[in-house]
Amino acid sequence: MAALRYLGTRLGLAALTLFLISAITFFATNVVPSDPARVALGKAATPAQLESYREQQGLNRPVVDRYGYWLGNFVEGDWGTSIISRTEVRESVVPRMIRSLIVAGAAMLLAVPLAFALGVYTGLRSGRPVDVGVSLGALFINSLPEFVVGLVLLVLLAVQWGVLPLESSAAALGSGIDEVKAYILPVLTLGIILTPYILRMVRVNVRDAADSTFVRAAVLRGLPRRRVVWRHVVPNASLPVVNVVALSLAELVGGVVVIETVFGFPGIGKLLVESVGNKDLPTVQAIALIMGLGYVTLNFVADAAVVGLNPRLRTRQ
Amino acid sequence: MTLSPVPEALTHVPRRRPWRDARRLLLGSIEGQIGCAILLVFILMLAFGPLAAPHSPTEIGVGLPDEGPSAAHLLGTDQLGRDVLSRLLDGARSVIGLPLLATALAFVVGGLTGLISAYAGGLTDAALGRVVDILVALPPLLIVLVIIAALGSGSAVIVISVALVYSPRVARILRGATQAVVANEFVQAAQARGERALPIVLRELLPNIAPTVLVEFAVRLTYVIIFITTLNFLGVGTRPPSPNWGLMVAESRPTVLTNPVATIAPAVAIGLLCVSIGLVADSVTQRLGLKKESELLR
Repeated sequence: MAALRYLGTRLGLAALTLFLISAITFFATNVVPSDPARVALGKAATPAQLESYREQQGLNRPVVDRYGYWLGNFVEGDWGTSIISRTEVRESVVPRMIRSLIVAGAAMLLAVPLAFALGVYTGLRSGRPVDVGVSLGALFINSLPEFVVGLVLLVLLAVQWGVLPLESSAAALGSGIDEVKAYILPVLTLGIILTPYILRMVRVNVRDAADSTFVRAAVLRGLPRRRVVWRHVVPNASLPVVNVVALSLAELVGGVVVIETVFGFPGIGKLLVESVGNKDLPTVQAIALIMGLGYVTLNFVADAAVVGLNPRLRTRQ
Repeated sequence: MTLSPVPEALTHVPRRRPWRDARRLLLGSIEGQIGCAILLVFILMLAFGPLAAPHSPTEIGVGLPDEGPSAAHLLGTDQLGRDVLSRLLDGARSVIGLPLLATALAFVVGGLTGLISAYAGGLTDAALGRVVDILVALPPLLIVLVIIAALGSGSAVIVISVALVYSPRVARILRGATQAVVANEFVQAAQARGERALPIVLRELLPNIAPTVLVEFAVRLTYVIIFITTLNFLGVGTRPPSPNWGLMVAESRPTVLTNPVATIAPAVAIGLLCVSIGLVADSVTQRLGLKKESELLR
């Protein structure tokens, strides 16, 4: 019961977040510009053209109606036409979205085990040089802007050693080994950026669990160290980590946008930045909704995972 | 009736030594010393950078385009033949200016919300807490990019949108800090004197959470510097020919293969600035024994 109620609250929060993202997107891009028709048709348009555009787009109707209409169209798959390329927004967004999802997923798959391994290792050696060193390193990376981390890796791996491509357009245009290589730098950078968050949480949890009475009891019972670590310390330290992974999802969304721009990776984030620069509002709207949906969904999955893993939330109280 | 003498322990107020306290806080650890040393260089750059610059930061063709470092141009030239060192020295202002404004605004809006929320308690607190929870869940970069797409990238738009994105985070942390002091008797004393809510919040509560506010401001400022520099790097912030460091990185990125110094120099400058503020904030946090609550809430 408690678990269901908790999940219900989280589902409500997810829905509310998504609603807010869509409302901010709609009002910022549809209501605030004093004349959307003028933005869409340009300065050369005649008053008659403007009026017929308003009629056609339903701009004369009340704002709430327009919001519902816009959202309805989006759900039905009509994402509008790009102002710049004059093509369907959906056609350019969907393939890029898939590539971005691959980058984000691979980065998580890199960051979580790496952070976990480092966190357990240093958490068990609290205060020793290796712990201090890794903590300082994590603080250092966390203090750097994402694009600086990306550029350092770019200069090392692509400029100095020349083992990887300077930019990642091959992810869309290349094939075979070139296509794979185009993914490496973005995934590596994003993975390195996400690691410090998770690492710190694992480290603190492992340290606290290692100090706890039940671990001391296990040690006093004469259990081998390996068993104490893997059966007593790590499981108890794992749970809050899921929360941190969920928290770092907002970081992931921002990270994808920045990293794709650093490496010229043909994904949804780079397209978003280009569309913001070009004032291509239909594309901006579609990407904002897609990213919002992805973010909210992953967040909810993480919440559900917390319930699944936490015995205190699983049982009725 | 005679009043009994007040015990000495209650009248003795320890002498304030603000300079010595500050020195201990800032320079008490190796982290703090390194951080302060780097920060000092940046403060000198802010004050004297434009005077020390050997060339104009925006003049095109003071050297050949994309030259490496030389005696005439210590950090080389960029793709338009501008002197990289001069641009770096001049750009410190534009890197720190807007973030300082945005962070200050976020602290006015978010700080007041947090303080009032904790002071009011009850239903007000619960309602504001819910709103803050929802706003904190919005991904910052996405929201700011959407706002810039609609309203353009003027300084006012950037300062206000960034402040709005960060103020719920500030509100949450300052609410937590205030809750720890709101139950104190001096608050009840002020209420008994008949003081109104706002003076109590500003004069009784705020000074008591000042250390948290200062550390929080430093940490938040780092994040906002990173955030706004990132906007500039993405090309949706400050316009060329501004010598903003984020913009410098973006502009020299296409020629990074032939002239990596022009890209690396501003990137390293941004990195050092952010790391040094982080080190100082970390050191102060540890010295004061505060919990750094913003750690996971970038």
